[in-house]
Amino acid sequence: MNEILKLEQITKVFETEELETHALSGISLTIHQGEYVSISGPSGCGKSTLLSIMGLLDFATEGQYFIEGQDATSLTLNQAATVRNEKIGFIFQSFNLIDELSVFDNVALPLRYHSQKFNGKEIEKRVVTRLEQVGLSHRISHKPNQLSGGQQQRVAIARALIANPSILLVDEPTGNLDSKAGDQVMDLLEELNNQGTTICMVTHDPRYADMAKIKIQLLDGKVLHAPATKPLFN
Amino acid sequence: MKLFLFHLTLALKNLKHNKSYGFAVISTLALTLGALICALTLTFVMLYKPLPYPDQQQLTYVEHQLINNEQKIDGRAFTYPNLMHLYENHGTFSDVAMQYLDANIITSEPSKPFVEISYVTPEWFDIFAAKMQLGRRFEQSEKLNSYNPVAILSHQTWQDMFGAREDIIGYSISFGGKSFEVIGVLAAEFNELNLAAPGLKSAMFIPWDFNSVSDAERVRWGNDDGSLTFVGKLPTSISHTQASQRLSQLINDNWRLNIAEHNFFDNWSINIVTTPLSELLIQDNEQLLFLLVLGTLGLAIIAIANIANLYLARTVEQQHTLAINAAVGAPASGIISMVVAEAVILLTIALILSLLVAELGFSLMQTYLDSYLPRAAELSLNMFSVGVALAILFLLILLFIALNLRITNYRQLVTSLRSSGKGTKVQVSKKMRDILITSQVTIAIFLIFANGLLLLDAYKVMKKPLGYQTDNIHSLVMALPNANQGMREDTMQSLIREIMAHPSVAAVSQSHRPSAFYTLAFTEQQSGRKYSERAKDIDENYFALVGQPIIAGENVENKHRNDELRGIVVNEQLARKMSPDGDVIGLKINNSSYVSGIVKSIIVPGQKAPEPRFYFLSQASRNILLIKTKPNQTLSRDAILAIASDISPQLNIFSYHPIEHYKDTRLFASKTTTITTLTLIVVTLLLCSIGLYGILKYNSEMRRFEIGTRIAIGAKARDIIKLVCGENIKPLILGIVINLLIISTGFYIYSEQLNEYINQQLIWIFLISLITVSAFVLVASYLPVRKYINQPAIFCLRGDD
Repeated sequence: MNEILKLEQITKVFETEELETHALSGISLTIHQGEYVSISGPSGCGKSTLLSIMGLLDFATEGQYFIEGQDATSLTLNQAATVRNEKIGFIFQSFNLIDELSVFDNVALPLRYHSQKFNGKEIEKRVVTRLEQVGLSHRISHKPNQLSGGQQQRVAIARALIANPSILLVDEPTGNLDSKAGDQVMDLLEELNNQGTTICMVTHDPRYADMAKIKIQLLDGKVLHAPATKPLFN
Repeated sequence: MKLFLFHLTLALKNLKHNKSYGFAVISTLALTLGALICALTLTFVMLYKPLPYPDQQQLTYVEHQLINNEQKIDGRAFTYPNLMHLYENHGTFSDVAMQYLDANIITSEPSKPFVEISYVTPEWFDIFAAKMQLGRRFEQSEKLNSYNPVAILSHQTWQDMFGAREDIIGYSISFGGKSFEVIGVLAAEFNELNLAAPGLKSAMFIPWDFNSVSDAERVRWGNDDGSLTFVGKLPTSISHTQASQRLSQLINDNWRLNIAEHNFFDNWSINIVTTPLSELLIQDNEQLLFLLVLGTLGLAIIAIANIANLYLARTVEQQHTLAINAAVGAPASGIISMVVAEAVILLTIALILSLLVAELGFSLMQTYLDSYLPRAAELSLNMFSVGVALAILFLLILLFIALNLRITNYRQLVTSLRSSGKGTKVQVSKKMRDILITSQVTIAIFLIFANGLLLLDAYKVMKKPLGYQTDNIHSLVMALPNANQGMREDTMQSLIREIMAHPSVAAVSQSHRPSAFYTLAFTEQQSGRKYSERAKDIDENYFALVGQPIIAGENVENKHRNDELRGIVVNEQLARKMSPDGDVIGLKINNSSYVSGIVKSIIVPGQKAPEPRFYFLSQASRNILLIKTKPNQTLSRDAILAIASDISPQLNIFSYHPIEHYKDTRLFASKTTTITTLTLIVVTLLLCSIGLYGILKYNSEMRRFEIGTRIAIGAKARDIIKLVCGENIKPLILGIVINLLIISTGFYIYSEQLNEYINQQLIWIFLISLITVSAFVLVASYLPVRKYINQPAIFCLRGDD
């Protein structure tokens, strides 16, 4: 299987004038194409920091990081933006939809920043396809605040998928949802993985962590438990 | 109320930790509202406040218009005999007074001060209800033709020149070879209104009989003199139109009889116009005041918009504190009271300081604009100023409450502590942001454009080449002792020789300074055409001394002073006026002169274009000299006094100034305009940039998560810059369109008044204003998002710095 993400001895230190906090200490892992990985652990263990570094939202203090074999350790902000746009799809706990934009425009947004220029028809075709995939094509003209929390998260999933990324990075996808909507979202993610989408999800809910095929547990910035069945960790 | 007092105490404590916010609000409002209160008070005093004299609505200024044969106004000043005729025969007013303004050297005082002197009839003191500090006013004993040599001192003169001595009554002062006994001192609170020169204060008052108009001038019916003024009390039963008709008839009939022998005045007439004194004092100031109020109001609006922005940002910043208060039970009104308490403290301090700024403005106007603003002396903080300040305070508090009600969602605020904490419960709508940006842009472009137009115009006037030199040239006016013509000639010629002999002197001319002219009438004999033109007496050295080239014919020559036919030199404008081809050499003038030469025209400082002028030979006794010193050398006043005292101990200096001084005086209005407009442009840009930055900063603060999301899904720095700039272009364009509408409407409605400004430069100035403000908008758009696009995306999404 192809390597999608590869982290080698990743360390993240947050520094203030008085304090130095080691959020991550020497994390190494590899995620292959088609895998469904969950990262869980107690609050403050570093799971969101790890996800941010994997998604190039933040940079590691030490260590090396590869995306599809390409060294992403020392990318500039603009290069990182390009990689995020084309290879990574994000799903946030608080959805992060833009209130002023319609569902269509929210979903289409990554394509507007894409290096490949899409024409209107192509954008519309892709948006409709993705919204159908998440079961929201009938809400295409709505504004996010006209949707329920579960619907908003599904729009966010459609947005994450629009540019055909190599991997979906999912941060506490059910954190702002009730259990019914949360279950629906998790079912959708599972379905996407079954269709071949690589997913790496951060969650503190053991029930949802168990839905992943590969489970990683973090504690104090270090890996506490990793499965032995696959060569995920060096 | 108790809650509000608690909030005030709390707000005071909070403001101690937010000094920069407090300083920004107080300083911006104090300066701009101070300027606005100053302009509004000035307008009130000039346009609406009654004059500080009894029966002020009856006080009437009488203007004497000399109408030429083309039915145009040739002059607006009285001729001496017409004034006297009016005074003695008016039959219209309940009370009348004459005033003649002059200046002289007080020879009885050791410092020989040069002071302004008013010659008045006794009624002058009654009409203006002059209060006395000491002694008495002029009475019947000082009436016309009484020749009683007495004087009344102004309060200022009494203090400055005589040390406020209590025994001044009976003291003798001398000038012009005569002595006058002091009979009174005016009270400090008396506010003199000088009709000949508004703003100018007389040092002393002398009975009319002693005025310095020469015996010859007193019987000349065709020579007007701007120093002669006439004021009367018009009974309410007579309208100004009736008075004007009646007096015009009276003066015209008498004048026609007396000038019948002068052909020059065929078809000329006199028109008498009566104007309420209060209206006269407004003169052209109404438009100026309107512009001043408009300018300061514009600045105040920008400042208030800026403060509103800061206030909104401050409210957004306080949302967590507000939420806690709401959660523990503060009602909606309590939340409003909490936020408004800070504003009330800041606004009150700012308004108090703005009154002090206004007071400073009054004293600056009284110091520097006294001669342009006739009632500047009445400027002070009064009920009107305080009323305006309180009204502004009230309106601003209302505005801030309204803003608060609009942006604070109390319901969301109450529940906000239970939610994730991301997002904001205090929201400034996009519409409101756009309105704020559009208002800033509209006012800024308009103020920069209007000030730019005035600035360029004033600058062009200042920088216009004059066509004559000013370096190392002084104008000297001598006070000659009483003597016959021959002795005066000898004295002046001796003085010229001695000054010329001084090692530092390069040239001397018996002429007035280049910018000083008076109006003289003449008839060109060949065509019989009559002219009334600006003229000056000079000697043969004048043109060489000031570097004004003669372009045709010959200069005047001193040796022809006593010839029956003397040469005059006309400038290019007059030559073309007299003959379209400009060929005027040899034309005879008034049977006593002929055109001997044509000289290149000059521009008098402050004027935009040269006007027709002519130069004729001065008398050998003329007491005015131009002195040019050698480079890097000077000739002091003391050195001239030493030379003069060797010739005659009674020879004194009237005035001695570099001609640059007169140029500066004439350019005062242009310089003031340049400085004021430049300051207004800088202040406008400063306020506008602060305002725009404020709006866009809290705008981007509120959009932090949105920007973070965009960056997270792949937006690059340029995409974010394009986004925020693009969003601000709409209100920018709207501001530009509103400006285009206002300006084009203004130029359409006031096309006559603004005609001189309508040219190609207008477009350039508008474009520059537009580009400058647009650049400020774009920079102000970029700066707040800079910190987001130059950091990893997580910085925006994390929600802290």
